Amino acid sequence: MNLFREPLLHFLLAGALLFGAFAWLNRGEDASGDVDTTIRVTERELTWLAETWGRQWQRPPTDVELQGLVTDYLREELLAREARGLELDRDDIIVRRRLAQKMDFILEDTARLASPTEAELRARYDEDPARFSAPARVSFQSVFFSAEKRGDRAATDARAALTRLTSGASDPDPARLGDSTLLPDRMEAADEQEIAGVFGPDLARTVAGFAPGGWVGPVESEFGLHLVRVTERREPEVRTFEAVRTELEEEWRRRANESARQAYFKGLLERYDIAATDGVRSMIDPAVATLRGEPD
Amino acid sequence: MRKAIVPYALGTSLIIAGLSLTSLAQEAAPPPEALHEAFPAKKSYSPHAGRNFPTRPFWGDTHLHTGASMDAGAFGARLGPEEAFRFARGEEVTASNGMRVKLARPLDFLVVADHSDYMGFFPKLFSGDPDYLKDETGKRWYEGIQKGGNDAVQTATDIIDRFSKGTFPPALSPLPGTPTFRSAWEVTLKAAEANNKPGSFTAFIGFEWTSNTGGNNLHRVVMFRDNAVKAGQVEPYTTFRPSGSDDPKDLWKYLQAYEDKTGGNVLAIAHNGNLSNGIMFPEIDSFTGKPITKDYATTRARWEPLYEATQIKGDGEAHPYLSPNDEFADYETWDKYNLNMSVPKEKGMLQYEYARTALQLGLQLEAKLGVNPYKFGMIGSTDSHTGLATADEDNFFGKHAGTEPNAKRMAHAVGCFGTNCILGWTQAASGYAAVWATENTREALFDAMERKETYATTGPRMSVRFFGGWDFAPSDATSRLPADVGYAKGVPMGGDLAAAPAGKSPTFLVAALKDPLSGNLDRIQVVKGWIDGKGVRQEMVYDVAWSGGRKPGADGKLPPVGDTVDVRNATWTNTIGASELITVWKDPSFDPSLRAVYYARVIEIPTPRWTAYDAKYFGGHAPEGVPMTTQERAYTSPIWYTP
Repeated sequence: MNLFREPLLHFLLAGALLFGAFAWLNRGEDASGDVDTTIRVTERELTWLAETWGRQWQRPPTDVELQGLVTDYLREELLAREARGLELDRDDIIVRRRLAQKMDFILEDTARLASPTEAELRARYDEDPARFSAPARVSFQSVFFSAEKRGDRAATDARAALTRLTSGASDPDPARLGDSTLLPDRMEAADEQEIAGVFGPDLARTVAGFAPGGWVGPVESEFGLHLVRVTERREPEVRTFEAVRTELEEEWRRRANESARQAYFKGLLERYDIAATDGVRSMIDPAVATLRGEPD
Repeated sequence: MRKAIVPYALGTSLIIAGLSLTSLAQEAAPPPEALHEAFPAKKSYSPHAGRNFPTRPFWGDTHLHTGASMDAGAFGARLGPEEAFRFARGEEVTASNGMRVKLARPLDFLVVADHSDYMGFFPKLFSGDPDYLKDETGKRWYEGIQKGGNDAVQTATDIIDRFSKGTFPPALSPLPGTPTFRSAWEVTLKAAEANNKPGSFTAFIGFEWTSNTGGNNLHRVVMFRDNAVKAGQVEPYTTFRPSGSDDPKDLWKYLQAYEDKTGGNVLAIAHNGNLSNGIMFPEIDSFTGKPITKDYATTRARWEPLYEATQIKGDGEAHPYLSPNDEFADYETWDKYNLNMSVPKEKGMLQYEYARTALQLGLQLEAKLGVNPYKFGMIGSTDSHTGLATADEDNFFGKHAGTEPNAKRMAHAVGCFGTNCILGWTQAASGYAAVWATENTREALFDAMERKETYATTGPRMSVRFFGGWDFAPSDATSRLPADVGYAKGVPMGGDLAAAPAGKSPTFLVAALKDPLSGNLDRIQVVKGWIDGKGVRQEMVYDVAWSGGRKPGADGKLPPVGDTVDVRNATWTNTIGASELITVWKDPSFDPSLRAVYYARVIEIPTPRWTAYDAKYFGGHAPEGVPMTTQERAYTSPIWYTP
């Protein structure tokens, strides 16, 4: 998908292949910082100029336009070389941010290019397979007793109905007990969060802990009282490696990106000395810790 | 159809009886032949099998912006489509202001709808693209944004202002066909594909078309039923001529062309009529200066089955000026200006801006043109520009990154243009879209939206049923399975009634179940709109079900439900109101020769508004006059009666 990313990223990363000119131009600068006084212009620069132009205009430039591009390029390059010679790029907030950003892009894209090996993913999975558990799921029935309709009698009525349901009395049909409601009279294989979305968090917490068996209750919810019968309970189920592979990969990439960045900064911080004056020293340590990804 | 009910109910009682019997050894099991007789051969044993109507609403936001939207990026949104989807799925993320944030409950679906105009502009400006810096304005903006703080806000305001006024520098406009534009679209497509999990979460592909001529809002969210293979064959439609246009009629052509080209399926949802200054639901087409035509009506109804009736920039169901007898009409009203605050509102504009009046206007136009252009269902959405689809009062992350929670956000402007300002406290923590679909997939949700089986809420997830028919009886409201009765004897929200049987009036089965995490219910109302014998728009709001044995007063008004809100602690108690309401209502003044439209409005008891949660959390005081309580609500899609 790199093709669709910001052209600059592509340019930097695949520079050698597609936009070789960039790397080539920078080659001229030696370590002392002196400015190279040769400006090389070859077919490669020309192609690059034409392609950049073409991407914006959706057609190749005419000869006149290409001439203009070359002129502009030379003008810009001459001025830029001089500016660098005068060190105008120093202490310029825009240049600094832009340079930092280019490095950021490179880091980010490098991390994206990396892929985990099968073994890495397996190892990550094996560390703690329980981490990938699907939550416990219960199927249950509910008979509802409306506190709004029955007032103080709701609890007594619910207990009376429970007795009928569990004692084998003549009419144990739960669908005829309790009050009619828009709440469902059952949920199938629902986890606690799903139950909470329908019956509210209190009942969800209680019912998610129930084992299958007979009618119990009353259990209180946001709506009233419920007799509940858990018909089936699926314990938290550890999902197989194959089932969580994509999640593992996503997680690996997030971590890889983060740790690559932190490692990079660790390396940089070893190579650079930070000379802080007394007034700011207290703020340097926390900043360095953040860059290294160390907890506060 | 009616017969189908009996086996359902019988099946339910028998299956439950059967289950109980197995657990009660002392009960004798019925002989097998008795069971055979009890079940008609064609009906499944399970009452749930073969039940092919929706049994639960799915919740989502059809209108969310991320940092890829030009203005959102300018205001500092750093979350992209990927983070937006992950947040909607229930993951914890870091907001642009650095706070960790998570939804109380995941959403079931989300449309990331970034602005098509200048899509990708901001990431490119932010990256200091050399071409942008060559432009004088581009350079000034880049520096402004880089400085952050107030400079960045000023810059963002300037960007939006120029955008609204059409004075954007041409050199800075990423247009369809450019790499910047394409790459932004690809990011959207990719994020939607990666996060679409049929059965558990639906990630829709979409964008927002942002027609804003003269600062008047005619925006539409465009959403696709299809995957990236199809949606990727086009690029989002912009307002820039010649490849784009600011005229909705041209957007509809684009939608048609998309379906013709790909065989796909797409729809558009308009929003914020309140900021259109009288041109959202026109009688006179603002682009031609002439009355709208039958072709306009047909095409609009074809592509725009839904309207976003509530969102952060104001509620759009009703306006107190248009509905002076409706004491609930003045809810989160934004009626000072058009979108960019360049032109103040005049009263005459309001009738073309609000959903309730538009539904009536649609009936009037239908009588004239033969087609109802404003035959829309209702949804709510956030239109948040933070990448965070938050509509809960106690978890509200605001309109844009600058209004994410902070101690001063109530008193600070959401936006200022010239001396006209809109202050932060006026933001509504609203809304979500509820969709009665059979399953959580792009196809099922989209199809339910096309048939308008949807409703809007201002945030809470109350469950609302609304059926219309000729034969609902009071006893249907006490049914154990109201939805079964509703579908069997009538049409659901979004449906049509015609051919009134002689002497009959429409009856409605309407029911609401509160959100277990929100306030109790105050009342259900049915809003009727119709065109009288003289061709004049009429409306009436009926209280049809309410809590606590209240009696309407001499003026016919039901007394208020009361108020348990403790503003200082941002809490309330559900000691008033009802946890559910259900009734059958019959139109008392039905005239079979007149067109009519009916929808239900459900009102909660007062609960703390987001401003109360802010004041409590940040330990400050709200500015004088800021509302600290709210009565959340739901608006169903209508049911239409056509003679």
